[in-house]
Amino acid sequence: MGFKLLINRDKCIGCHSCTVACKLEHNLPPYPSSPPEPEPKGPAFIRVKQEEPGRFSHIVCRHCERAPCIEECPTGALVKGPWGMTQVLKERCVGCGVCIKVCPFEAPQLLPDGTIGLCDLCLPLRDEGLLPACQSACPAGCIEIKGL
Amino acid sequence: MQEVKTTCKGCHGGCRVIVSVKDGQIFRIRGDGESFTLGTMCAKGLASVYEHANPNRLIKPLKRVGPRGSGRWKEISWEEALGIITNEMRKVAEKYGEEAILIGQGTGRGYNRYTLRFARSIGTPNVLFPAHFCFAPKMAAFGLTVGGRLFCDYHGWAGVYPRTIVHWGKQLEYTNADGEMAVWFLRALDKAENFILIDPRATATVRRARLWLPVRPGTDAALALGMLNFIIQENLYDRDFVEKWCHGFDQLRERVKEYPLEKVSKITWVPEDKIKEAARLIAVGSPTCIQMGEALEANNNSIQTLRAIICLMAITGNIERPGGMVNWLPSPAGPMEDFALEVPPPSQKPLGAEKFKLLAMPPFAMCHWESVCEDLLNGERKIKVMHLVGTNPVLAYANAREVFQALMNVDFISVVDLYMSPTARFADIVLPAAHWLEMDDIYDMHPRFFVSAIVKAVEPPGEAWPDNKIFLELGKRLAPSFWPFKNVEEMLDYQLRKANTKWEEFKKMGILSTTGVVHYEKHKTDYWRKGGGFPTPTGKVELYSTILEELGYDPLPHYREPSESPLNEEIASNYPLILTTGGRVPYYFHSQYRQNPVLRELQPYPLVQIHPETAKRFGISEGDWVWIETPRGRIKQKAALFSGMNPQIVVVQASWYYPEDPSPESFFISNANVLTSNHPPFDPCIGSTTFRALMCKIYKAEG
Repeated sequence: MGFKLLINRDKCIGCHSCTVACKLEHNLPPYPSSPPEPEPKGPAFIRVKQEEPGRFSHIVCRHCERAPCIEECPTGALVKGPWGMTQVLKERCVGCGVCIKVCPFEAPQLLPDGTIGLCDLCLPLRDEGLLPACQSACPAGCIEIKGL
Repeated sequence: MQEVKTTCKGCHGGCRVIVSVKDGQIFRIRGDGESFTLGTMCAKGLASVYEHANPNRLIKPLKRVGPRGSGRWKEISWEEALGIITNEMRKVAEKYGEEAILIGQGTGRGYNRYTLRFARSIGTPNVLFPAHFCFAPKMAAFGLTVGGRLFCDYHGWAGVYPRTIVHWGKQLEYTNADGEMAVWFLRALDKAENFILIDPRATATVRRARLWLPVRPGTDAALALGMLNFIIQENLYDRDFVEKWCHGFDQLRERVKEYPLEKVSKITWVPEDKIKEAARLIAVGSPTCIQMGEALEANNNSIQTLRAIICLMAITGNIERPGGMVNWLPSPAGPMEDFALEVPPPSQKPLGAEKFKLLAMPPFAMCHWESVCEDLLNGERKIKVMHLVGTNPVLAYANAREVFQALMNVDFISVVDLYMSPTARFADIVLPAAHWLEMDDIYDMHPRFFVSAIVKAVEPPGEAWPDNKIFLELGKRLAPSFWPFKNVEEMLDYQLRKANTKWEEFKKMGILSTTGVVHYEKHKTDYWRKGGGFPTPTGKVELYSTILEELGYDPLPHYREPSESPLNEEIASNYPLILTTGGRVPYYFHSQYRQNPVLRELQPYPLVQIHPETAKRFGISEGDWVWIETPRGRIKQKAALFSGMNPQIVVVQASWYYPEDPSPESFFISNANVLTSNHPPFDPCIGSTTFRALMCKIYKAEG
């Protein structure tokens, strides 16, 4: 893999800046404006969960070298792209959700168009000379994507 | 595409941001990497896109046509709306005097100086800020003791960073300003040797703490006094600073002898060895900075609690010291509050200030809301007109149901807001406000050493106006001599005159700041006093306060048990758990943002933190709706089990209402202030109400 996604969990403060930055950058819609129960969550390619007081974990695609999602995807929609990044081929994806089930991090996100979305390392931002949205927003400085 | 550099006001604000606009639409907000906040952003600031483009925004001035709260409105012109408001104010001023008009705002959002200038210019002393339990006690306690507000030096302008950082009832990691920014603290934490967290809860930064002192809510003064005693007994204090620069050390030493560690440990529930270790680190781990949170202000002994901690900063020699606690110099534009203070204050005292004397003290004299409400409910109804900007008293102040009744007894209420807020729904005139993305202004909230430009990135929706324009237009009509400015730009030029610049130029510069070593050790120069000293009556740090003595208050810090406490058998037998309300939630700011879909999605419903053992005892599981009840009433929130606190503590989120439900019950059903008390005892000096240390019971809600 040509890059590293580093998250310093001890520094994370659970502020959810990364999630909101990610949603806005990728234009991921919020659900819903007046919340019914149970509480649905709109898609975000990075999420934060409090494990215990002061200890957070992150739900985000780790772009695994041997990725169960790629191995198990029945339509071959998940593939390795540049730098070993895991990518979704939209035209092949049928949104069956197998990848969500087999991912140890529950990272794949079902998008409103019925296909799966994943962290794309904010490559378009990189072309503008900017850091990935989550990394630049994080006030604790705990997210770093190295080696792109 | 256009990029606009501006200043976020998503909380108190202050982060520099870059807004990308295409065809009049915002498509990205990101932090400015070249600014003081290093390009970082919080969820609230980022989600501001959804504030600008929110379909629920107010877009026209509205006049009530049905009964109050009926939701029947007529759209009117600004001219007509301003005419109605100014007529009401004139009528009331003639009949009852200007003091019958109350000018109020919510928490500081950068228009404080306009609110205060407007109130002074029309001659009313009754200015309302929700400040007597948030920020004003801090300003007052620092003012009494040191002569001015001290800030934590996370900046290292003298090449020195804090070796020890203490967070005391504070979650600076969530939400900015109040003097300091989250990112400054978090980056200084990377450099600090010791971090001490003093909080009933193991909050988000607990894993970075060398010590966590889980103090019983409301007992912080006892803890500070115990530390003072230990530091003095062990000779760990800064003898040189104390001898040269402190007034009343001997009296303080005698006073704190009343707080031996054994007694303090019993009061605070913090083990003796932890108190000792923390006190030792604060003293010998200097430079130390102590970040004091609002939790210390929202109780019945706010002034003395804060004073005890300020004494701790003083005797350990951490005042005006690089890496310690410093009174920042303002930017070259001078103190922005001068814009308000240059207007002479009215001669009458604000309501409640005869009793809570620090409320009458210059510069920011303001009324005592609980005294105003008491008079509206059971007195002469002295306040006839209220003009309220960006505030929701029903959510912000103690005993929400009584606050609502009191508001209903006001003859005329006008409200300025972005949305049809709970307060706006019961107003007579509602004015649509512009969002920070839609206005030009000078940002000057608490950080003090800088001011920055808020530059309009997009047009406001409909006919919404910026706050500064609304104040200017009202001022022009009622007190033109104090509002001689043709337009907002001229008013901004005027406020920048000391920096020899104009708005058009400042807008391009973006920021005016004072940084560097010039900030430190000013007491050793002629800055405050010829020959050195602090701007206090004795010229020294007043451990023994001559001002409090003169006002008839205790000149030395002391501890007072919370009015409702587990030690009070009568209350504790019915309400066995300690209730604390109002801790920070990173994606909401007080009652704001429940309409913002991106933020609401992060947490759609209010959460009450309950210890797993306690939850088990009461048959409550994660996610259950739970009733929380006090003698004032009960509310419902969803259980979030949290093990990082004493099982006797219950933590309720504040400021919850449901904008999607227009019935008044939606402002009460989950509103923490249904539970809090607006009756005495208040803090005797400044009238603070208690939000952080009450008693409650909990039980599972059916269905």
